[in-house]
Order: sequence, then structure tokens, then C-alpha cells
Amino acid sequence: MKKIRVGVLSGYSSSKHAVALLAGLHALPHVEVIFCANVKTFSLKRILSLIKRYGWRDAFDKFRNVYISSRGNKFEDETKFITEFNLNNNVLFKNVASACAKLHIQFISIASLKEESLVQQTIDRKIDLLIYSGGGILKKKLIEATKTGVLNAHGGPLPFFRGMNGLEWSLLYNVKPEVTIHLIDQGIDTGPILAKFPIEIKEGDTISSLRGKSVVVEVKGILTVVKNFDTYLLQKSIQQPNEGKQFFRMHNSLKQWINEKLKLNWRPSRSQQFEQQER
Amino acid sequence: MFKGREDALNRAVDWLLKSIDKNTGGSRANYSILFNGLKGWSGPYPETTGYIIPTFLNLSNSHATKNNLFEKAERMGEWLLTLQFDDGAFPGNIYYRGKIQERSTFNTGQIILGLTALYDATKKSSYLESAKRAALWLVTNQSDDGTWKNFNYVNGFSPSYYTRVSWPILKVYQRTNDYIFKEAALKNLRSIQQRQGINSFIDGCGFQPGSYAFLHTIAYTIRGFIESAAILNDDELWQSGYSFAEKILIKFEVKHQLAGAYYPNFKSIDWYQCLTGNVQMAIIWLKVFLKTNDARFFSAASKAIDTVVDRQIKKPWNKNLIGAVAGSSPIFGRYMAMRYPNWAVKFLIDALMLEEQAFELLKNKF
Repeated sequence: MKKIRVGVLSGYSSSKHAVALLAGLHALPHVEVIFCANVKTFSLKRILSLIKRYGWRDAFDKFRNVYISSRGNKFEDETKFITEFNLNNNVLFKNVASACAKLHIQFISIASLKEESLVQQTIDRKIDLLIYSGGGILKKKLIEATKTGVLNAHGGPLPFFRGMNGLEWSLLYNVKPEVTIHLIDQGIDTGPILAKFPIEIKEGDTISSLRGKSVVVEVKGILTVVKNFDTYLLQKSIQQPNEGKQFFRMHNSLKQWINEKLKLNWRPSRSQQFEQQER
Repeated sequence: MFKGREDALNRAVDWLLKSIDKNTGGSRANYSILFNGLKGWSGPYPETTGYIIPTFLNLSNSHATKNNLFEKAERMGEWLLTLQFDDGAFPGNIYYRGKIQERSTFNTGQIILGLTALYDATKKSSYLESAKRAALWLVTNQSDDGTWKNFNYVNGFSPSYYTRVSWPILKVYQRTNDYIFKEAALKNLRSIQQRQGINSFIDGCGFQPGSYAFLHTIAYTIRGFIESAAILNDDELWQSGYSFAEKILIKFEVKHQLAGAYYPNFKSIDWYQCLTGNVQMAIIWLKVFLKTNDARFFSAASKAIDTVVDRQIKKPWNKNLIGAVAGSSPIFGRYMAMRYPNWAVKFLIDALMLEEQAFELLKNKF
């Protein structure tokens, strides 16, 4: 049986999410992970973009805690789930580079996913499928350089909640949170949907903990889909542009209010279909 | 209210109270030592005093009842009545005693907003009579194509932000049921709709023809459409305002900043922000949220309000400035450079009050 030639795109070097994916994909017998392209953590553009998006203080925290180290910080509620997942699966690599070294996967360090060299590598190495785990916006050329496309795990139910904070927006709209595995196209989260996986809410959960759980569901979801890729590809559903809206970073006041509701043991009750029915 | 909002509101109200001119009761246009000398305050501004009246009336109903805001709003109204020309028009420009005043189409419209609000609150016929005369003057001077050729900021140029002249005319229509007002307002709105491009931008919404538009006048234009649409229950007018408002929302969310001004192709002038425009857009987005339940608009509005609350003057290095909001950020930006206009604070107060109301509704609805 011909192996699927896979490349992984990683957003930053200490990404436990990317490490989990690399280890999980490597363990699949019909998959050959050819390379992992990692976007350099330190770039002026990235720092400026974070400052603009989050403000100085939050940008500093995020940069220090998420991109450099994910221990002992205010994002711990979020990151502990993927850390635990990796430990339970005996994935002990320190970072993306060391995972690649140990698993004999080519590690490519790039300044941006828009680099021409990445497109060339994808073509030259005959990559069937790229798997996205962060790093920024993809160019059409890169998407088209693969045989099948680029697989992404979106943290919210598609097609309705496209864009950022899909988990938070679905909670706000009282819709059960899900991770959607889909192929990336030129739009924002508008590509064909391959599968959906629920995010379970338990007592004591907050947005942070649910985001942490979502990352684990994303990793598991990607691995499940890649495991039976042809089957999932056959049953893909095409999104219509008007089926959903693009959402953006949610204002903190709304997040706080969702957290207050979660504290009262509130649970979202609607499936995403309600939105389509409402329209 | 969200954390920090109550303080921001109190500071803003205190500053707007300071802006009131003791002699006339009108609100002084801006504070600027550079432009106005050591005293800092300009003369009172009839136009913005007009639309500050509804702000004070709203405040007197809810938050700051202790400062006799209702009485202050009435005094503003009484002052404005003394300024009305015999033909019904109101003057443009800042008021300075003895200085000859000129009629202004736009400013007359903005003053009507105050007069109709005072009529609603007091039922005094003098306010409605004055508003009606002002609206009649506007109708009389309107051209057949729905625009105004005279009494404009730039001679011969009837800008698209005159949607905000139609809105007050419709306020008079609502209170008089005289169709002449409805027809005139609609004629103007329809003519401005013709200027809307496929990218949703409405051409001519800046101060100068064929140039960029400050976010302030873009927001004026959109607000005129959505308020008129609400009064007339007109989907086409709503769509004109909504589509433009949504485009600006997307620009804001993608860039994490509202530009100080935009060209008709949405090319932006980013090096400064037009702070009053930011809160005006917040008001529009909150109104869109209230109509559509699309919470993206609430979220964007709150972020836009954050940008202004963060820049509101809080440190007491000059007591006349605490609570003020600059025209631009940085202060030397092109919009009202080096000045703290009263309308920036007026729109901040409106935005904060509407945000609170919208948040309560959101909590009940979602």
C-alpha cells in the first residue's frame, strides 16, 4: 500500500500541539511524515502583530508563555491538557525540532508560511497532504502544491462559526462546541468539511480549560481523519459561502460572561443545525 | 458595566459639564491651549450643543442625576432657540458674541435632534415649533435632486453625511405627520444611495469632494442611514448603512485598528485614529447588534470603545482635561489636531450607555 506523504506546518517551536501531531502521525503505518516546517518564533513581524492584537501586556504574556515556555503561567489551564495528552502517550519531546530529530523527520525553519522555498519543498518532496498546526495565512500556491490539500482542525463548528474563537462564539450562541476537521481553501475556514468531533464540557470547565481540551480533540481528530483519510475524503461536505459568517477575536467581556455561565453549570443545548434552520 | 467603564463614564460626564459655557449654557466646542489661548476653551458650538441635548437627557434618566442634567439640557435648548434665524435656519460655526453667524444646512439638522428630544421630554411646543421651522427651511432650500446646493461646509458640495440631515427631518416628520418632511428626507437619502459602490463605500462622505473621509463623517453617513431606516422601516436604507458598517467592522477586526480616514477604495490612512469616529462606529455596531442579534457587532463595538477609554485623559496634569478625548490619536493626527472636541466625549458617553443596555439585552437573549 502506498504511504501518504505528509508535511506538518508548525506555528512555533515549543508547540506541544505540533509535537503531538508529529508523534501521532509518525506512528500511523500508512503515513510517512516527510518534513515539518516551523515558523521561527522570534520575528519582528510576529511580535508587532501580537502587540497590535492583544496590547502590550497581554502580548508580552502570550509571547513569553505560549511561544517560549508553557509552564507555570496563566495559560497553564489551557496548555495542561495537551501536556497531559503527550505524557499519557509517552510523547516526551521537548519541542518540534527535537521531535523531528528523534523521529527522523526533516525540520525546516522558515520565517513565514508564505516563503517560496516551502512551496518548492512541497512540490519537490511530492507531498500528498499538509497538516496545519499554526503559523499564519497560507498562500494559494502552497495549497495547490500538494496532491490533496492542507488539513486543518478548526476549534469551532463549521460552517457557521468561521474565523477566530470558534469555541467561544459557539458557546455564546448556545451551540454545542465541536472541532471541525476540514481542508483549507482560499477562504477563511470555508473549505470542505471532513469530520466533526465534540468537545465535552464538565463541571468546573472554563473557556481556558475548554480551549485546552479543544487542542487535544483537534490532535485526535486530525489523527482519526488521517488514519482513514480516503473514507473521510469521500464523505466530505462542501460548504456554501452563505452558510456561515466569519467571526473575530471575542471581546473579553463576553468571555467573562460565558465563564460566569459555565460556573453556574450552564450547558449549551443547541446543535449547530439550528443556525441553518433559523436562516 | 464592564470594568473601568463606570469611571470612564463619570470622567466623561464631568468633562462635558465643564465644557458648558456659563454665559450661554451651550457646550464649548473644544479645549486646546494651542488654538484657544491660555483659557483653553473655545466658544460654545450650536451644532454639537444640539446633539449633546439628547445625551444629557438620557443621562438624567439613568446615571448622573445629581448634576441637574435635565435643566442643563433645557438651558441649552433655550439658548439654541435664541440663535434661530427668522427663516428657521440655525447658524454654523462656533458662537462668539457679536460675530456674524451664517446659516448651515448640516448644523441646522443636528440642532433639530436636540429640539425634538427636548420636545419629547418636556412637551413644550416651542421646541417642536422651532424644529418644524428648521426642517421647513431645510426642505425649502433642498434642490430637486434631493441635495443641498447652498449653506454647506464646502460651497456647492452636498456631502453624503447629509444622511444625518435626513434623519432629523424624519424626526420632525414622526412628530408632525407632515409628508413634506418624509419626501424631502427620502429624496436626499435615495440620492446618496446612488453614490454607494459595490464595495459598500459611499462616495462623498468626507468634508471635501473626491477625497478621503474621516471616520467621523463616515460614521455620520452610516448613522443617518440606519436611523432613517429605523424610522421608516425601510430595508433598502438599512442595507446601505449595514453593508458599509459591516465592511468597516471587518477592516477593524483584521487590522486590529480603525483607521483615521478611508478613501473610497477602502485604502486607509492608518497613522492616526479618529477617536470620535471610533466611538461613533461603536454606537452604530451596537445598534446593528440590537437589530440583528449578531454578537460580532457587540464584540467589535466594545473593542472600539476600549480604544477610546484607553486614551481618555485620566491623569490630572491639567484639571480641564480630565475626562477629555482628543480628536486624533496621536493628538497631532489630521482630525481635530491638538484639540479635545466636545463631540468626542458626547459620543463616548452615548456609546458607553448603549453598550450597557446592549449587554443586558445580550445576557437575556443568549
